[in-house]
Amino acid sequence: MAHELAHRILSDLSTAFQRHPNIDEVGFICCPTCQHNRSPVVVENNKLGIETWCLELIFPYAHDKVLRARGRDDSGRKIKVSRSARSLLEATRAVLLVQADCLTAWNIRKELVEAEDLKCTQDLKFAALVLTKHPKSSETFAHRRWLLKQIIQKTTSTSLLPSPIAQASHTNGLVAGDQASSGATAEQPLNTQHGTKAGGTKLPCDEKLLEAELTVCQSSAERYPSNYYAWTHRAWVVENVARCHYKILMKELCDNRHWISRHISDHSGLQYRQFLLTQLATHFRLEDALQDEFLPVLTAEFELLTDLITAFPGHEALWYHRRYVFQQWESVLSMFKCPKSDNSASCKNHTHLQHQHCSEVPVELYTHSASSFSRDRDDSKLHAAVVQGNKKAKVDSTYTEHHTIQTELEFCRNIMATSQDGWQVRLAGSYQHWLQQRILGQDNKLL
Amino acid sequence: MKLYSLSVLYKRDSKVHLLMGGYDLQSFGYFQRGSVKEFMVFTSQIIVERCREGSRSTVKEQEYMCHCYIRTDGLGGVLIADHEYPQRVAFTLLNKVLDDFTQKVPTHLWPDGNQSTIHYTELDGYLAKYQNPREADSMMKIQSELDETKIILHKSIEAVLERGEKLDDLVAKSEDLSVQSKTFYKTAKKQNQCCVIL
Repeated sequence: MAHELAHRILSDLSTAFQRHPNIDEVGFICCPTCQHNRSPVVVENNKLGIETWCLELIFPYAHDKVLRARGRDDSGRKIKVSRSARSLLEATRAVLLVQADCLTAWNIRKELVEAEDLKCTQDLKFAALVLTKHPKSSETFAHRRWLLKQIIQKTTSTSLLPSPIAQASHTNGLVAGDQASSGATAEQPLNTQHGTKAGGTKLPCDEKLLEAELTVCQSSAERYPSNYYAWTHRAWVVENVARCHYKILMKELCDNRHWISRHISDHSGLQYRQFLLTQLATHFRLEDALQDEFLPVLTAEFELLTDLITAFPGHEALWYHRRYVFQQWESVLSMFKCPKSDNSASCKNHTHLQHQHCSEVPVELYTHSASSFSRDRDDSKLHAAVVQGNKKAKVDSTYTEHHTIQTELEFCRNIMATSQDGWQVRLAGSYQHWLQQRILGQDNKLL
Repeated sequence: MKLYSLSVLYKRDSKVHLLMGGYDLQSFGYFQRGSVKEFMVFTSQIIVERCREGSRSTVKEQEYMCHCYIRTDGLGGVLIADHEYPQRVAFTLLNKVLDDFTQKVPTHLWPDGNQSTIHYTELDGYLAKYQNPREADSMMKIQSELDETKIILHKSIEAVLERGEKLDDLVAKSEDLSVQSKTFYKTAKKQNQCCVIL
């Protein structure tokens, strides 16, 4: 009896999806008992609602189907169960709408995609729907990455000029090979194709696909604060779909600025910003445009932070972001020659930086906060630049005087003197302490 | 940094009733909005009932901040926001709304007024405008006004209740909450769900 009812409800779900192909949100309607013998599946304004009383009926039924499709006999061999694709799609859909992290269900869907019973685009649409109810489901995001890789692979293999890279490198599960960006090198799977300003007008990916994916990340980040999975997925997309193209990095930096101004306590959003800045640092270093292009970006970042910290007191995330920006600032300046001046305060600070660069500064120090965002980040390149320093150009003295440990300490003192928010004062004190430790650390290296 | 609801209530002789409310529930799931709105009405009422006239308080409940200002003449305003929205701007907005309401709605209508009898449509507009606290730019600069006023901070709604009062009982008894909302509250509590007002 329960089985029949569950089966009927799953059919209702299928009918709902057929009749309303543009369903863009799913939610549960709190309803402990079946009302008036009517279907628990409701669609209003393209929003799908499922009454909660039926969940304990359909979930075990569907989940059971999913598990049986993966049945193994006593010797561990897979039992060949003939199940129609349609039945599997129905069952996995029901399971995932309730329990988005059911990897078995997602894997069945992967097989259906490979068997071409399900299109990648259809499943991307379904995964986006799941995210409206479960915005921080890591398995859903992982499944999206798998689907995106399938799409990218298909695009590159069917295009006219197959790049030799496409067949060769599949390191770290990344798909390289994209004829659109010129000058692609095969050695490094990551950050290879930073579109140069000269020849990088064409984006290395389908713009619509990229746009859609970024929109999904954005919605998930809106639905759940500090959504680590949504933001790390976004970083993955920028690296692997957009190939860290300069134009996209800059656009993301701009869009993200608006977002974090409205979500000042979102640690994950700010860590994504750090990821963007790190990628830009690498890009500009390759372009030999650190002073001309990157320092202004960092200057703007300082200004943004000062503005937000003073306007909205007491948000720890902003203070931590400031630490990252300051570290980046110092590390970039350390690659340049100190402007010649004797006994000036700024030069004294800069001497610290020079010595810092000469010793083995662990690059992980300043990239720590962003390290979770990319496994294969370009730390090695940046580190090499730091210890190398053969061709050191001069840096404009206005930069060396703008943001130093002293000016930052001054900033802290101001906040502590004027702010009436106790927590803000503590955060400023904490930053001050961190800065003082940096001075101590540098002094120790001098000895 | 979001504002969810802005309500004007009237308090006299420990009796409180809602005169008008404005809501922005876009960030909630489509099927949740009905219940969320009811809870915001319920919460606003509870807070005004239990805070004194001539006081300003902020009640923190999960990640929501309910800012409440009750004037000595009994007119009160409750602004429900998230924890990022600056408190000072919240109270400046409440000041402004109550002043505006006083100007536009005659005092004699307040004691027996409710949402159908009171004609005041500005709340949705205020809510929309102040979603970005920088809109109150001039107000963010004039902070001295509120510097001397003390804002009482309550760590939860339960902290506002009287000794012996239980939130669960108040929810069960409430006429503002539908059966669905009451069930929603019970289930959410059991599952320790986050992102539910109350």
